[in-house]
Amino acid sequence: MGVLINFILSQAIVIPIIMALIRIKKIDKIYYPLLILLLIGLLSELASFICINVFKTNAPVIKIYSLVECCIILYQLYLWKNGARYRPMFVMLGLVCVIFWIVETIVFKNMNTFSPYFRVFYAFIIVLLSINQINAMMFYQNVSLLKNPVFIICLAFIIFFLYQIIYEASYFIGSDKSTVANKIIMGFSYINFFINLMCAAGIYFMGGSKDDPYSHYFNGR
Amino acid sequence: MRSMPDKLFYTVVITSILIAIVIIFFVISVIRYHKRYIQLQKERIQAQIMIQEQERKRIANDLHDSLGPMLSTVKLFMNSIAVNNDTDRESLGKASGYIDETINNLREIAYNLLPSSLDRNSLEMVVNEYIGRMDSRQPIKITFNVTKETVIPKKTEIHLFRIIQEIIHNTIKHSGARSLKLAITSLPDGLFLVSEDNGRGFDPDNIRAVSGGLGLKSIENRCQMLDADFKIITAKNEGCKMIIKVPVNS
Repeated sequence: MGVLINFILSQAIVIPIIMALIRIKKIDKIYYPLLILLLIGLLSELASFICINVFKTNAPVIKIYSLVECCIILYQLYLWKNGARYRPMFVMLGLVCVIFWIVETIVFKNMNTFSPYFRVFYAFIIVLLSINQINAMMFYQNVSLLKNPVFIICLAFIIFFLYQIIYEASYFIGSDKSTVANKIIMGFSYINFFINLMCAAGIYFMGGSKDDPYSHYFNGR
Repeated sequence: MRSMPDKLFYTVVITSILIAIVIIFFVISVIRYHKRYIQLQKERIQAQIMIQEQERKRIANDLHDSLGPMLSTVKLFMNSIAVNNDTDRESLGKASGYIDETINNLREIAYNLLPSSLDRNSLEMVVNEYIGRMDSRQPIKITFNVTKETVIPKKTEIHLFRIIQEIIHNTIKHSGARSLKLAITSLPDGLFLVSEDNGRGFDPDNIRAVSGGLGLKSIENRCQMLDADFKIITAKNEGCKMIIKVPVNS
């Protein structure tokens, strides 16, 4: 029963993807990195399924997906920040993340084993950037935040990646060594499901080129 | 090899530190953005007040330099008309009187819009002149004192004048007071503008909620521009006291 529920919850990524496909013509280009990330997420789920059946481990898929996820989210947050003066900071953060990943995965030859350091590191960075984005919006935006896709998705990032930090710590301790750690690891599927619902809600509120006649002047990259 | 309790301990400690950093970052970020927001608000008010002052200046100059001379010319031409009929003469006299009144009103409006003498004279003189004009038409007794050796920065003068103008206007219009005392005094921690009337008083929160409190808002905006503290002490039937403290380095 638990395995079945976990499997169903892990497939919840399909919900925001379906929502995105329905609304794709109305969604602004500025949100495309997030949509691409969702598609890559779905592909990584499928690749993980195949790898577990064939090689008995999905560690390489998770490793590569983590790096891609980190870079795409950083790029997405940079686009939302909407200012050229933040470019060096985001480039620097991206470079630091890539170097961290290379050192952890290639230099220490960790491709086939799970190690938490990079996943904790980039989760931490994304949480801080998302907090900053939300605070900036709270003070400068005049629109309702609850219907703002950037706010909803940043909130989802904060919840998800904070949980990811705790999840990785629990995984590091070992699910067989602590019942608390085991419960935290099991809870990840539920959080994942909830976050996918939040992403779907965010995508539902994504407007763009057709709603705003001036948006192409600002978001035409 | 690290033992299990050690591993658990260090993992929990590191995770807690990371979460603590996130919370601290959140608080710092809120404070930082709030500061920037306040600065932005202040700049917005400054811009609004500057535009308002420039617009007042333009209107006052137009009234004074364009409309005033034109009315005087009209009056001159009217006086040059030779009239034999008594009724016509009377009508002309009345029209001439109305023109005089219009010119006086126009000068009054222009003066209220722009106290041009503030460039040449001290705030004390300009306010006293303003009070002199008001006194002749209002049943209220207004006194204004500036303590000796009080130095008012030139940049602050226009804002203090506008605040005084607003206080006088509000007192005459709403308070029903018979006397209004105004004083400016310089103390080590700043410049104080104090006003006190014996009117019917009011509930500031209620005024803001019911009428929008435009007069009060205008005083508050000027105070914000000067970085000044603004305090109202008032209650129903107990008059109203306002204290404005302008910091030394404003």
